[in-house]
Amino acid sequence: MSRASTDLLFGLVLCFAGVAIAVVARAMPSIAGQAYGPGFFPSLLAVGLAACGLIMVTRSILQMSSRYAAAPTDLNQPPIGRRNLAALVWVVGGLAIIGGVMDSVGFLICVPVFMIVFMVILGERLAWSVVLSLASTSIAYYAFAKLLKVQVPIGLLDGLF
Amino acid sequence: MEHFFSQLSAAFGMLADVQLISVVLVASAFGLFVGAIPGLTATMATALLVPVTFYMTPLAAVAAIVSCTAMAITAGDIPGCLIRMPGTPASAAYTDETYAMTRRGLAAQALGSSLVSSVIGGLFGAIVLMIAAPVLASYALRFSSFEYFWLALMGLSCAAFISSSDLLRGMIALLIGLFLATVGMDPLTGTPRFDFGFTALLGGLNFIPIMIGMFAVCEIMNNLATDSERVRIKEIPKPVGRIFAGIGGLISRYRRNTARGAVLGTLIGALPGAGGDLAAWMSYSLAKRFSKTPEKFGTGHPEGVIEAGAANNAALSGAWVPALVFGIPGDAVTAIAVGVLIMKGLNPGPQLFESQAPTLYAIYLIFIVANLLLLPLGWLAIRLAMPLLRIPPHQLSAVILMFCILGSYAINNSIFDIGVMLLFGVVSFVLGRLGVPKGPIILGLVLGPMVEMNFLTSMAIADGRFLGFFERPIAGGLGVAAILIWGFVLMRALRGHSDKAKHAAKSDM
Repeated sequence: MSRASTDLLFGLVLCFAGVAIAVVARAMPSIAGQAYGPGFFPSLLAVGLAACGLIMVTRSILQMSSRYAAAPTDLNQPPIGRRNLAALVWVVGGLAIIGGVMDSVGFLICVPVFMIVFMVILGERLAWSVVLSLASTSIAYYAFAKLLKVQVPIGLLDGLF
Repeated sequence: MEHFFSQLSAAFGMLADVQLISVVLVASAFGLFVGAIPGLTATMATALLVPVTFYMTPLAAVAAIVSCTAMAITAGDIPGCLIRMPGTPASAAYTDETYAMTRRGLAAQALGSSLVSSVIGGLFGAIVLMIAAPVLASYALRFSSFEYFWLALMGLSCAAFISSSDLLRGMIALLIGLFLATVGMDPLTGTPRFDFGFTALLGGLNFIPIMIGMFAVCEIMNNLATDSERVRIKEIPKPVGRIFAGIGGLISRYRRNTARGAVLGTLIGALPGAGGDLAAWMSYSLAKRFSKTPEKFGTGHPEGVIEAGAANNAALSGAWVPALVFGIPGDAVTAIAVGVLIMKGLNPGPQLFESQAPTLYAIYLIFIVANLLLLPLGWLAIRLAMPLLRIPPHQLSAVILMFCILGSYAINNSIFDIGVMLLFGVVSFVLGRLGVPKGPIILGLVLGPMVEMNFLTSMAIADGRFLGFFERPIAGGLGVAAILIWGFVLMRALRGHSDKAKHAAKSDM
């Protein structure tokens, strides 16, 4: 995907976001006796976002028709390697899974598994990944749960600690 | 004068606390560690530190942030000098120069000169902070919502204009930040806005998971995406010799550069959106422009290193002037610090200088202490640099991600905050790939409530007349200045586009 087409898409998303924010802001209740209610400031921002989106769309169309030189920001980025891409997907997916199950499964199980998979994907040795994950999560658990008194979820290991 | 000394003695009393000293030392060690590792930024160090500061006294929390950042910025010079990979963006301006010095066998001189000039710059910035902040605060006591509105707006515009080479992208970042600040209850009426049915969002977006997501998770994702693994060091550089040998003479020879770097760094640091990295780049190019031997730049010449080294550390203290006086942070780190101060009940502003004077004096002293500690701890970090640089990056990333999860969770004992961290990590990563800068988003998020609150209050006072924003002399002056700045920037942007169009038309022919 070229830079101009990415910008075009980004501009359209901004226009859409601006319109959506404006619609929600307009539905906010007005306050009796006040000219500016809770929806006023978000409405201003919505107009700004939509305007920026529109400029971005116009600029990218002009760029695509080659009448303009490239925009000042260089967005050409090299492709991501397969291993790193897998790790990137795992960071997002793994964190989302942790968000879903950490309360019931517990920090001391979820997070080491997340770390081990992350490191193994990136080519670290399994044995070392297990040792590092267990050691670091145990130390961090002790520091936060025992010293700082944070209620770190213990989940399935309840009763052991 | 007697009052000043009593405040100062109270501040010294606050510093003479074993827990506080331990916090400074541990935060310094953490800052040195993060700064010395390429790919990990000073802002990331601060974001990761914030969940722990939650359990500290306000002074200890600020002390941790100040010492950690100063150390990280200075330690960023080490990998730049030894393996040509800047530890933090603030060191990037003179990485080639210090590496060239290393290749000439002058690594000790490069590291020594950047360390000592950093200390001088940091101390100068701290002294300016000590003098300028109370003076500005006594003046700012007369400010009303009108002045604060214009000040916040100027700060935001400045951030949008400076942070990116593309004005449009800077503006988009700013608007996104301002929009995020509207999530939660409206500041005047308490009407819920954009909470999407989540009760956790009624109080607004939690600042800490956002910071961790944007500066720690996003940085790890960036490192994976750009494959910027740190180079495995095959050729081990020779051990660095006595770093302070001959540095006194060198700094004395380039005293003008040191002074200019310190002054420029402090001024640039005070501008919202312009951090230590911009200060270093500007100082380095200024050093080259005014040098008697500009041809030596790039060949391993210490002049630019000294000037830029002083500038990036001075910028740190400079950024605290508007942050403490007006609540307008100068960069992302001070934006985080302002968030921490607010969480601790120390709302930045001129009133703080009346109600919490000893705490503020103690904060100034922390700046002095942290900068003086740079000398022994910086020396130690240089000694330990090679083992640090050999830590495998993926293992370090895994441990950082673990701390991100725990840090985000620990603030409210809430899984929801892990989701917020993830969301902002991903959004920030995508925006970064689209060239949208992070700085204005953070400043918009911090200053959004201030702009909105002061705007609505002023409108109510002025009975809905916009001209009311120009009727008080200072507010009028600030308003005119803001409009002139916008006009100038807009004109420049339009002229740039028309030049490009002409250029394109010529090349078509």
